[in-house]
Amino acid sequence: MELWSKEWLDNIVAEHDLVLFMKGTPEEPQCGFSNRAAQVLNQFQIPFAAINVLADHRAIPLICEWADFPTMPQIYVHGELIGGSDIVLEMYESGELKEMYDAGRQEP
Amino acid sequence: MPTIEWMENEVHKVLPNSIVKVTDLTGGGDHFHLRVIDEAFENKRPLARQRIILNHFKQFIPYQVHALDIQALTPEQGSKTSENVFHPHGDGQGIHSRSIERRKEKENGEQ
Repeated sequence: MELWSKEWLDNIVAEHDLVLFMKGTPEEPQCGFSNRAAQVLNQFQIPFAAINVLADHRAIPLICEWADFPTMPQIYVHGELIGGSDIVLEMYESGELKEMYDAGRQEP
Repeated sequence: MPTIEWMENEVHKVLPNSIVKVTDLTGGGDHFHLRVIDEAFENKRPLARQRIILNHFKQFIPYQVHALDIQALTPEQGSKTSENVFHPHGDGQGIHSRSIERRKEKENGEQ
């Protein structure tokens, strides 16, 4: 499977319940918005897969095209895009993030 | 370089009746916060609300507009929710600001 291809990306979000595509890493974020998203997921206290989109110059345009979402970071819960750092914060604070995470886990 | 007026104008192209407030987050004309209030957001999830705006702005991203942080609110939410502008290159406290505000409101309410 080619890195950043549709199949590769589909596979990543299918394999992990929580995925964060971000600029940099949770330990060393390279953008304030990515940092905010990583901090929210850290507070959520569920392990998540973080993918550094700066590792390869092809990543951002390919992911944005695949997702039909123009900016980074992007957060996926059970394979579904929920949005960027503003939405993940909003959903974390309202409890919707937990609801969505718990609901998906109960499916077979 | 996009200006605050240009950004407002572009939002009004897709949501003509919306109330829009644009903040230039870095002063560089490429990182913006949008607070948009419109009836069109009723009964829509956060991503669906943003897509109305992003589908229009994606033609400008990432070149003219580098980052877009969006608060998309219904008129009812707009009257209750204070503005929460996150400065990505600020002191990193943005993540806590809304819950702190809410705590303050609660404390004030109990006094």
